[in-house]
Amino acid sequence: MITPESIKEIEKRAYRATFDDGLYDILFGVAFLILAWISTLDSIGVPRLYGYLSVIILPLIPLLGKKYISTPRLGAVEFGPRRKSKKLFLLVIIGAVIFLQMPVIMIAGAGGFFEVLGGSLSVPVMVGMIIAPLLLLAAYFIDYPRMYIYAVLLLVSIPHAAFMYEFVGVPFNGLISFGIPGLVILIYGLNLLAKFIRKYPLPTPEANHAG
Amino acid sequence: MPAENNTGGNKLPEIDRLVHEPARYNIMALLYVVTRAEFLFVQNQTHLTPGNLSSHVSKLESAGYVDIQKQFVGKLPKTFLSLTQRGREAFEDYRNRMKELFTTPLNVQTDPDTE
Repeated sequence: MITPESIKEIEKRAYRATFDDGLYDILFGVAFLILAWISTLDSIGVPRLYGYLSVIILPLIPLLGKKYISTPRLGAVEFGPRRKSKKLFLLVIIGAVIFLQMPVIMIAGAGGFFEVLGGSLSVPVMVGMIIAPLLLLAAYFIDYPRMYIYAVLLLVSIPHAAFMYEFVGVPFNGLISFGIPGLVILIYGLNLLAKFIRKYPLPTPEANHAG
Repeated sequence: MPAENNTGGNKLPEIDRLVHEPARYNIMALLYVVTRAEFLFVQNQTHLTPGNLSSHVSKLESAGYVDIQKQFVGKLPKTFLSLTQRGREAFEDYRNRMKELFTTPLNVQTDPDTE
């Protein structure tokens, strides 16, 4: 029997299929590794600018991956108004959260909060304070459950890095606390991508025609 | 064509056989929740072969339930499927009739000769 819940499940299943490629998992893995790298820059005498510039590659991962790997294999789809309005609502919420968070972060920074954690962690801490709540919201609104885990990992990594600072100092605290989770997530994402490519081989030209 | 049971004379609701077929139902259910989808996407989600999907889509198109758009994306021809308004109404009507079918109580009368 077809129930409204069944229709919702069909839509959710179709939508989640677009995440099967692991590209967003690769993105988060690389993001963690970039955080680990940025936390080491001061100690190796590299300007932080190079770390910030490396962030540019992040959006390229899903953009280019979807265009050249996923969509040619899975097929293109445009979801309905309900999904689009959810995304729009999410953008509004993200904007509001950032607007509310920025004064808090600026006040914390002015009070030397970040230096207490070890100056090299200032960027990861700021990123964590802004990004982690947004990841939690995004996970809810776009039905991407793994994002909850990545948000929690980000939140846990920050105090873990501060804790590790007492034992291993810089830059190893950042490398361990952000680098290890980043590597694990990246490997997981690459594994998903490999499975996706095996599951959805490139179709023959005849396979994409009706009639 | 309405079906009659043998006991209470209850008339079962008329069901659109075109939508009722499992493969076509899956196709219409998927297209119902999206604006439009590439033929390849529908094939992957419904696990039908290209020929099988093409056959069902042709029947749905003939009934005016599905719209087929062929366009070029770069140099590659692509086929996009979407439900027409008539198709959406037919699918919703099918859902309602099935719901009615499963929620209507049956007047079951036992045959005294078999007891």
